[in-house]
Amino acid sequence: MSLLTMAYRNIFRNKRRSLLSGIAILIATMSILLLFGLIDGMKDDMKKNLIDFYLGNIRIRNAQYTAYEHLNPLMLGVPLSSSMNALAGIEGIDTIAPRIKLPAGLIRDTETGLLIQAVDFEVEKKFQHIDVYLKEGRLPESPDAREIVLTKWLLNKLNVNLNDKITLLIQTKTGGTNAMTFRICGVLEYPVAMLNSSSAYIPLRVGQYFARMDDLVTEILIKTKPAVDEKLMAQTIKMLPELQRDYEIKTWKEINEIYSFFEMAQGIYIVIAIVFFILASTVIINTTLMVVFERMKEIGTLGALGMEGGEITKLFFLEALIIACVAAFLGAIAGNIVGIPLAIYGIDFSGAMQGISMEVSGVVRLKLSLVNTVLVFCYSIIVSACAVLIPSRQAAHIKPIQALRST
Amino acid sequence: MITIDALVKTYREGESEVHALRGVSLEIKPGEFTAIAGPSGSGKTTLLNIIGLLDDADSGKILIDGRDIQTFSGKERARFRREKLGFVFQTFNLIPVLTAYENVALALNLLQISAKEIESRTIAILHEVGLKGAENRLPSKLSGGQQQRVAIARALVKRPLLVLADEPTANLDSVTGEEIMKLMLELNKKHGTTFIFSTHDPMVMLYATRLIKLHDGLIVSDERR
Ligand SMILES: Nc1ncnc2c1ncn2[C@@H]1O[C@H](COP(=O)(O)OP(=O)(O)OP(=O)(O)O)[C@@H](O)[C@H]1O
Ligand SMILES: [Mg+2]
Repeated sequence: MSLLTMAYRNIFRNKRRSLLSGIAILIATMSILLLFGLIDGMKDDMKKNLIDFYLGNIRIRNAQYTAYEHLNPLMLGVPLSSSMNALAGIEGIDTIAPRIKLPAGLIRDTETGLLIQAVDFEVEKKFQHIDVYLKEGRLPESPDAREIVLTKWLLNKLNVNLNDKITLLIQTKTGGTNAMTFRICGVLEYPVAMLNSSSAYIPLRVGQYFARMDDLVTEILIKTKPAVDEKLMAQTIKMLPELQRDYEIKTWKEINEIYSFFEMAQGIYIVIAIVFFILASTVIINTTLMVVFERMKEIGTLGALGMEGGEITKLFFLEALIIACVAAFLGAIAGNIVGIPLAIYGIDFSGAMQGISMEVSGVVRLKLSLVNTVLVFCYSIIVSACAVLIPSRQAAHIKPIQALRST
Repeated sequence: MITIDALVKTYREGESEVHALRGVSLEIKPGEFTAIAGPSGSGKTTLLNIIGLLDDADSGKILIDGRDIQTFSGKERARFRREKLGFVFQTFNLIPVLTAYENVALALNLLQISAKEIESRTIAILHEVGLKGAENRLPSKLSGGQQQRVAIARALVKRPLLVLADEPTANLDSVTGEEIMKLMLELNKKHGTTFIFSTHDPMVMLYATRLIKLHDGLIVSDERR
């Protein structure tokens, strides 16, 4: 007759109360698992968006560009051919996307400004999967086609339609003005609100010619192959003689602070989880206290039989621990089951994300992971075990004589 | 075997004092079947609790098997109870989630005894107390008399030096109570186990081979029969 069997049977003496304790822990475990899944999903989504649409794994810019970014200094560019040649020797690069950021004005009865980007569409298909986000029309036919793709949102804002022609006015690298007419050949729709309000693309060569950039681009984005250390690669690129001076070479993490903040906040999530588990544990603490009080006579009997305080503590501790383990286990399973549809279909935050300039998609998919499941399961058990130790130890302090008298 | 000398116990509750024992001295020999009788409040339970190492006396000496139990630490007390003492309670006090068999075996589980021996001793004592066939029943499925038999088996299975029973028949009807007394006496004769039990029931006193009467915390008579 082991203590464990006794503890196990004791669980069923008051089923409703045991159930209640279990449910509190189950819900806490499930909720925290879903919360962690959501945070991880957001992080992954943000990372993907930052890399695909904004920064690449590594971004190369002219060292002066960032300081004058608000002026869109086209003369502070990066020479494309020599850079491409230099980068050709680097291992681990998946795709290189040169981009030119051009502020432009729409010539009509009134002038409306927009930021266009000159890109290599063939590259962008690989880099950001631009074809996936193409909702209507097509991408420019050739690298020299005077065609533009816009987001649906911009289409509405500019009050134009697919296949309309628009004339854009820009300032060239040398400071002169230039205008060019583009046909709207495609309409894009992104999952990220921020992208939708600002994305307009023209072919790279057209852009270079339009702005008299010669061989310059404003930035070169590099996407690394999976499992390549981007930091190390950035170091290597910095050593290239062609790019040694005058260029800013940074990884996406170095550039974007919000993501790093997310990562730094990891410790806070754990604290939140523990606080949550402690709250849930109050139910089981209370139950255990009641149980100790109710079974006073038994505590006295066991004491009279010569069972020591530690053993009696163990008896009550095990009872609560079994409940906590089962509940945490079921909570972990429940979290994964509830999480599956949320991982597949995502949670729609687009309403809430309106107007928030963060690189997070409107629909965030939960990221479920075994690591998180095991971690949350363990947290849940450790916290409830510690919590339950308090009332269990009470049982050891009761003298058999006092306990026996309470009949 | 048990030597008690000038035992005093006073309960204090705030201002008031209750003199539960006021200098009790007695000697109990191995194998005695002793009844402690007396009206309510005379100090029977208090005396049994002190002998059973559940409570402390304020002054006086008590030796069991030559050992001064008042010098024991908490751990030593638990160990002594575990190994040497058996308790039978007025309200039976079986563990409700354990079967008759498990309740008895529990007393042996606390000792360093092989599983095989635990089984054989448990079965044997349950048969002795007349519970053959009821081994796997939970206390709630046993009558009061049967529950007290389990409790007696639990007290005796460890082959204790001494069994302490505080009003073991008080919660039983007179017929069952008498059966329990017969059983205890039989076991006392068979195993030579020392019994000390308290009672106010004259019928129960008839079974005792020694009758000690307490009144207001003092022994007023002590007769061997
Ligand atoms: N824990 C306690 N605190 C205060 N007074 C106590 C305590 N235990 C017992 N007493 C008092 O000590 C006296 C002796 O009590 P005790 O329980 O030993 O008597 P008893 O002979 O067993 O009585 P009963 O036949 O009613 O069981 C009584 O007056 C009782 O009220
Ligand atoms: Mg009493």
